[in-house]
Amino acid sequence: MRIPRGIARTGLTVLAALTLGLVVLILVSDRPSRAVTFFFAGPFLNLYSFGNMLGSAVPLMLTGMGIVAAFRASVFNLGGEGQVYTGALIATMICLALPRLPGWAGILLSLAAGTLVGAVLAGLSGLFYARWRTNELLSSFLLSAAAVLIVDYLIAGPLDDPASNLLATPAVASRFRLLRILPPSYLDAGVAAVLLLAVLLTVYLFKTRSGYELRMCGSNREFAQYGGIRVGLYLVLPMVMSGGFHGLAGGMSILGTHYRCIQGFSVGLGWNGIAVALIGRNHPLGVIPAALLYAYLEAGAQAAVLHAGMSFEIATLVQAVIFYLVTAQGLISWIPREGLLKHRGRPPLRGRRKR
Amino acid sequence: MSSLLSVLHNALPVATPLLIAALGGLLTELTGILNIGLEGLMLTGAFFGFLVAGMTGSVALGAAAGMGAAGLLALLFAYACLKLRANIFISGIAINLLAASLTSILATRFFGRKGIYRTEALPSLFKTAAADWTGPVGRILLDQSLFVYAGWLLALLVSVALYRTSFGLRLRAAGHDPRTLKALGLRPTRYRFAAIMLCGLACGLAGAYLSLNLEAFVPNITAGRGWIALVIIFLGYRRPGGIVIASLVFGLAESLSNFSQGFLDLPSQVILAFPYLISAAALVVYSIWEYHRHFVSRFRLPPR
Amino acid sequence: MGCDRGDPVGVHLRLRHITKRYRVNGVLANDDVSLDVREGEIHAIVGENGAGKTTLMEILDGLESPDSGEIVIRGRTAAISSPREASRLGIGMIHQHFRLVRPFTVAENVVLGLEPRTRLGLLDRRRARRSVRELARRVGFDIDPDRRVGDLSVSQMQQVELVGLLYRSAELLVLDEPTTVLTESQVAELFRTLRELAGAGKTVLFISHKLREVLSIADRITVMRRGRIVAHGRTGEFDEQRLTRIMMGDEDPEPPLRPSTAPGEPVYEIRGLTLHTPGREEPALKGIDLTVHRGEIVGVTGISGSGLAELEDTVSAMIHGQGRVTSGELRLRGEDVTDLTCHQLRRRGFAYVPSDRLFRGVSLDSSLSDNLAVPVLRKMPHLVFVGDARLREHALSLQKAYGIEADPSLPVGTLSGGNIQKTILARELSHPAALVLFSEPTSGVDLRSTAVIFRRLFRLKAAGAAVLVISTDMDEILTLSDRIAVMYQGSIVRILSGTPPPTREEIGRLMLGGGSHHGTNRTGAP
Repeated sequence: MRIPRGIARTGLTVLAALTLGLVVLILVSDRPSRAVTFFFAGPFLNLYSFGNMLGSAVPLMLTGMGIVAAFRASVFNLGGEGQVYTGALIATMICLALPRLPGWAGILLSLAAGTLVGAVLAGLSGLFYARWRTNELLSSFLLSAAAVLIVDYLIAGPLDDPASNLLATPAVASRFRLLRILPPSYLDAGVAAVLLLAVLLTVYLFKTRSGYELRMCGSNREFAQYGGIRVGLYLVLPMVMSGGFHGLAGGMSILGTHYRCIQGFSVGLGWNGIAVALIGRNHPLGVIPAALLYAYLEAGAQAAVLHAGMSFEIATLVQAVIFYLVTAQGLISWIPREGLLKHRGRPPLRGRRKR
Repeated sequence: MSSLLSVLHNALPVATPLLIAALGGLLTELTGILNIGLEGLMLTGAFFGFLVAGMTGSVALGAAAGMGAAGLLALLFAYACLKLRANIFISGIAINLLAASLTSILATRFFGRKGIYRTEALPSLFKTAAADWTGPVGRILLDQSLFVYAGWLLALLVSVALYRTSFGLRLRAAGHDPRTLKALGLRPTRYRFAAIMLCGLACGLAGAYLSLNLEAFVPNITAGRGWIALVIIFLGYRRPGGIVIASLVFGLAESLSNFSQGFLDLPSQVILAFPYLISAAALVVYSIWEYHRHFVSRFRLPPR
Repeated sequence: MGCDRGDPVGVHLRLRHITKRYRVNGVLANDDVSLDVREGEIHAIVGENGAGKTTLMEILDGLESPDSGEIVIRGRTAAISSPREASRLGIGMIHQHFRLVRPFTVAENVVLGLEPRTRLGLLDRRRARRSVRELARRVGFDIDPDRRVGDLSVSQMQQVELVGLLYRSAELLVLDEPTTVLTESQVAELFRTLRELAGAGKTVLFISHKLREVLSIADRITVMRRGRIVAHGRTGEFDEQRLTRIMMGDEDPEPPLRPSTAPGEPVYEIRGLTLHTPGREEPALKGIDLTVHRGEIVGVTGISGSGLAELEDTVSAMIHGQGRVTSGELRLRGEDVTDLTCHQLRRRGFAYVPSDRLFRGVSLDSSLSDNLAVPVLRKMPHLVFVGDARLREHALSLQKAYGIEADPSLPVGTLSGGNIQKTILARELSHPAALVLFSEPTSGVDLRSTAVIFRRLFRLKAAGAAVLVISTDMDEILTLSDRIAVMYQGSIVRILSGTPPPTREEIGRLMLGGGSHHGTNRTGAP
């Protein structure tokens, strides 16, 4: 069976990343053999760690899909971190503010609110870009960075749960918590919804007219406009979708895993979403195995930290190295007109003439 | 009146790292590469500058080390972008993540603990003595550390290099029309590489200044300054002169907000968020201004 | 007729048995090509697209290396490994798409790569300026070294390129299709310059498919077809008919005749259109009045910079972001369409074949099937499931009708230039349209395909479409148009009706502003 070249390259990169992670572990850890064992086998030790690994992949799948939605339109959402975090907080607050709602209503409402918040945050950047050519990379990042700080403040301050040792909000009522499907791990039923979303996104992108138009705008915006596609729409819509996915990721993390908004719980979800999208070759279905892989690496690192006394930053370093390798291995050839900023061609063309 | 003076006086040291980093970023931007990794490069410079200065007791060595370390990181960035043809934005993010985790780990390793690191062994940065007879303005301009003047000097050097040397000409050509350079037998990649390395050195210097000036190092000491430097590049219309002005404006704004922190009762995180929010606002305002300048205000509409 | 200055003495360039096969697609681009170019002569290489001229040029320029064969320059065998090497050997090339950095000044462009330095190592602008002025004077140009190249006219840009070659001491000047972007009078100017340069000892290699021009400037002509040399000799031995026959082989397509259908009611009206662009005080379009009727082909022509591009962008609603209509209106079938977007125009029956084929007409990274799918998808609701099979079927049927032989799932970027143009035509013309806009329809297209395109346009006219053709190519305009509007500096100088048939001289004069009514608008009745 011949493996297509692109996938072979991806595989090689992943392998290289794992090897490098291994090397770093051996070099840095005090007890290398133990660290290595736990790094690679840790997640499979028992149902708890295995289920948790799967569970941690779920928000990654969502952020990965969010990045795919934007990348396919050649729009860049660098504000994932803030969108996830803010979405998580809003979802928590809704549950806390309306404890008497029936379970399903609260879940739906809070997830919808989280999605909405993320969508608005990213959508603002998209709007600024469509209307005034404001660089959306910078604006999305700046807004998100500010949002993270503000949410940090809110959690540590007015919304802090005095009863808990953590810097976190109070926990949401148990009726709002998603069903655990692999106890004692925290893998929840949300995974089914996320898988469904991946399929829906795939169908949207590749089998509908709107998805086609979005991809055309990503390939060549001038051509898209020339062909009668509303380019302005596809500057904002992908950002809105992207932010929505990120916000949803935040909400689902709360309702499925943490049950309260802990300060800094979501650090890295945004950036890792980008890596996951890349490993998944910018395809919603590819994001699923990519997120699983990433989650595996993270779970392995955590196991090494827990059982082999490795420090937390090392795990972050391993992830960062992997991120670098992933981006640098030329997987990106299919991102339209890679490399220079100039590839985006002429300024975005607005949908309406003005007198 | 003296509080106004102190705000003005502080604006310059605050603006300096922004200015230096933005000048570095300008070089790469003019070759067509928007370097998102400025933040990571600065952080690397801050850490290694602090580390080496603390160990050797020399500010100069510290600055050099900061520049060198950031230069190495920039090398990674250049390799990814130019040789492996990776997406420049994602490579920039990778640089930021690498720097953040690396500096954090190494800090814990070297200092054996987490948190803020201080050193007393550091000589205070060389400052020119303010002559009494120059008055308040003189004190603002002259009572600054060497770094501040280095920043201005750098702005001048970059300006000359870009517009008065053949290197600068070719560098700008690489950004405008790399095909033409290739047709002339020159390699745009070489100039991009040079730009990235120079950018790394500049950001290393800017970062080193941050930690050396503070005589401390905290993980994430850069607090978004790398991103602000990016915004400054655009606000300065991608020219050294404009960048000087824009960085001064930001320096003034931050100095002002630091000053007002004294009597405004705002939580620390909100204060930290200010630079981001102000930058975002500045970015949007700039875009609107540019948009109107280009597409709206020039045209007087005749009555229909 | 070519000037006959007696046999020049030596051989400047000798190509012996150059063969080149592209590995990518197996095409034999140069098949045992041998040719001599003599010192101080003007030598033309003619041939259709795909004849191998471009490949030969790329070999000379060091961009490609031949599989076999040798290159001898002034008696010494040379291996041209890079453009820099070619330059060192005295070969200077001007490509069809200029290699100039537009934001830079003339002087900066000329010296780029070989910059004069002062003692301090800085750029010596004064010396650069002086060199440029001297060299320009030597060939009779009048260029201000400090002007931005982006502000210059196309023929001036070409002059800058020539000066650049002289600056680099090029002895063998190779020009690739230099006249495609020039008007008649600019061509004459260029030829004058070339003769002077040849007289001063330079050798000129001139590559073109414009036979009339070649016959007027060249000393000797070489004809290529399908990678081989099929004829060569002194210019005096050839005439246009003979050249065409040799170039085309046995096939000699008759230029199709324009059907004379009487035009119907007005379909598209431009009234008093004024367009401002950012950065310029003067409007790019001033008070344009033009009407296109049913079953009529209206041609708009002018030199580059006279507003043709802006007109194209305005009519096609692609002008957003690059200009604003400040007065006047556009009407399609009576409806005011001035403020509409491309999207809305398309819905009202607008088809458009742009001059910028690669970056506007297609999406190079997308598949052929995707590129052809746009009009089909446009008719569907946004979120309905559309199968790949259906799009593929549609693509294949269009491919069959237009003779595009390729796998529809491959990206369009892998297709040849001719196939790309066919793709655009297939997509745009396969659905009935009220107004069809064609810009530079046969630019860079070989004779055979040109005839095919002309035929399609005439079929459109016969079917009752309103066709607007914008082109700088006078032959094309004359063949196609029922009426011709000539633009100059943003206004329509004159609209020539079919009777009496307009002449090239008349149009040429109008293109340079010499109108019988001194630039005031005048609409010609159909």
